[in-house]
Amino acid sequence: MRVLPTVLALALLAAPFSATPAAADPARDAAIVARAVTDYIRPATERFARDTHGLDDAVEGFCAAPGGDTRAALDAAFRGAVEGWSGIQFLRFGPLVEEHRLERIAFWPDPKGIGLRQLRRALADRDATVTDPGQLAGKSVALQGLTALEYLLYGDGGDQLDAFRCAFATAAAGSLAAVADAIAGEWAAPDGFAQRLIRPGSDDPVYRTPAESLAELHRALTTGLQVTRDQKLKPVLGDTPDTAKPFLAPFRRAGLSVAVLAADLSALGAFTAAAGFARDLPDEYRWLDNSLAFEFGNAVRAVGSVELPIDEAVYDQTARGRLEYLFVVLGNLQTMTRQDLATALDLKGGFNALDGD
Amino acid sequence: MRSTATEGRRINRRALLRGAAAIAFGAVLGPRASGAATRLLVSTARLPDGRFGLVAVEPDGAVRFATPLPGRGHEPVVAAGRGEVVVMARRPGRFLAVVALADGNLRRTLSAPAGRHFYGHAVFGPDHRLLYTTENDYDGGRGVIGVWDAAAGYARVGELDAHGIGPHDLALGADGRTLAIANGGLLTHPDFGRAKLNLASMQPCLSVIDRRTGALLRRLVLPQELHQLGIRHLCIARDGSVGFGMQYEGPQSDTVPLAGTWAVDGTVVLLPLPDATPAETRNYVGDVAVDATGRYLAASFPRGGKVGVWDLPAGRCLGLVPAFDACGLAAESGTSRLWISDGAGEIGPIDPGRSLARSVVTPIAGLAFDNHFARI
Repeated sequence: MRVLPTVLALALLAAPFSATPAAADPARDAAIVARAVTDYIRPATERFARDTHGLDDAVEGFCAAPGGDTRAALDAAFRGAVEGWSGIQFLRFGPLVEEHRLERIAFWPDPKGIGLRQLRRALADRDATVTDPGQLAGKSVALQGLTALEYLLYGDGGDQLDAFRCAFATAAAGSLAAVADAIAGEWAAPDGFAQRLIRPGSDDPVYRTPAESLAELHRALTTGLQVTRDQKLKPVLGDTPDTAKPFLAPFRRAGLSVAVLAADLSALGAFTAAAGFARDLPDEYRWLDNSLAFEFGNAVRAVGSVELPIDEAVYDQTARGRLEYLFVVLGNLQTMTRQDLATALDLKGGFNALDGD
Repeated sequence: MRSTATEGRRINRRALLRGAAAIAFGAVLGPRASGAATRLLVSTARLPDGRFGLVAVEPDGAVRFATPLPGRGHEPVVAAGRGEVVVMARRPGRFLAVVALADGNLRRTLSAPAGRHFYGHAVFGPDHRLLYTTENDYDGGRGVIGVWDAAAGYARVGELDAHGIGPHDLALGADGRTLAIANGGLLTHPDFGRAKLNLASMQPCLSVIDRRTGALLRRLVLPQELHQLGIRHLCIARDGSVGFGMQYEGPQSDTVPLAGTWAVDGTVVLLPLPDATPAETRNYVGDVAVDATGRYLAASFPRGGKVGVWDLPAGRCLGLVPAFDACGLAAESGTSRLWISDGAGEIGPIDPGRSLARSVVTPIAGLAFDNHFARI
């Protein structure tokens, strides 16, 4: 009497959360994981390793013979490495999170400018330890990798590298390439991390079943969408042009913030397609495969049509409109992957488990 | 409050969808209303319609109220003497809601001061007058404890240094004079939502401060090789020692301690987990509680779907209770029972002195208990 009527009223509202999950399918799960590793992750980590070696060569080339040609080659190599990083930065598990590699490759976001202060101090002090790759690898993560190189090459004084900056940049590029090699090497190893993911087993500390391996890759996809939307786009765009903060955008000094958004989305779309997350779903979820491809296509086209650098794009009516549209599409992709795809793949991520504090 | 109770009996779907009003369950008029502040489980939750709110459930599963909140809440803090419960916004939220215990009415909603956001936990002083809240001074990059006077309409009356970055949970010391603070060590900034900005250099700690002067009395920093173990949750045992639970930010196949105790004499024990693999704990503790006798400590592993239970005097892990998506823990006064809530909407106790079997009730279909609840 006391409770019944209201309990019934509330029970009516349970519908949105009571969609029947699809049945478990270990063979399908294992096939997705194998495709993701073989057709996406290994090639993408190899590409990033090649990109960083190209950057290492280009820094040395420019420093040995500064000039228009070598600078153009350096700019192209830097852009290649940044785009290559977009290709793997969402794989935040296994080789990428060992030994602080993620932070060593890119110390971002850095809203308090900690990295910038450290870089300026190292430059002002002519700190010789940052010019030695061996010693640099043991120093603050903010002094290593792409974010440090960006400041050295595109910050104040970055157009004409003096001898100290060249030595610092050479050390950073060399150390970056070594980190990229280690990541690619660990993913490529026939008995390494990839094998644990592809052949999970009860004796593994983390991946005991194909569903647990699949959950890791699904989490990488949803986290990747969240990072691009909520960290790289949302604070930059603000609610209105008045609250836009383009200075928060990644790789803004190098003029690559829009390119980063484009490369992130291409990568997430390619990862989704290569893994075939939604390829073999039960009938009621079959729409997801096309819908995901369609929305990734929309996202890539939207950002591809932004021709202004981010500092101007957020204030330009047309460009801003395209970025706002991109924000909406990314929200759709988040909903589709977090809810529909997770349900379709029978990934039992709980409310507290998925998003705790 | 009677009118709300009457409305509550006539609640329908439209009313729930429409209103921010509490959904009372008619409990106020019954004989149990006189014991309004006893034997109640109060939890943040996701309501069946998808909104976030606060629910109050009696131990038999009867629902006293379900109140929608301005956003997702984190910890409910009960001031039984004031007949109310304070709900903190989940980080990086900014609301502080005060809800009446009798009927779930939202008495007031406050905001974090400019330049601060809440981390999600709070605690009252012994007389339920001053409220202490963990907060982020995000432009200063430091953790602070906000002080609010409940007797003066929750006026902001002060601010103390948390003596660490990322203060999350906090508790009142057994002496009533000190605050124990779990400083998770993670630097965040609202410009980047919940992104962790200093994983490579994080430095968590436990700090104990004098709640009147803010003076740092004791501080615990784990050895450097454990610097990626964020100390996020804590509880106070009967003997005054601090029980704490941790979240590991390093590689997930590492095996690390996840819970411990810090005695008043400074002794630190990192509790063993001999038979648990990282897959069962995901190296992530969502909540900790010590039972009322002080003998048993529980730590929830919501990502692994388990709750670990230890016999503290024996220094021994009693086992892992299977509990899918379980996070919230609370001790039952006067017994050794520990209550567990989960995302499937189940809530119920284990009695470690007898067995680790958990009995549960499911108050409302479609309800998901959020991270923390309080038991009174």
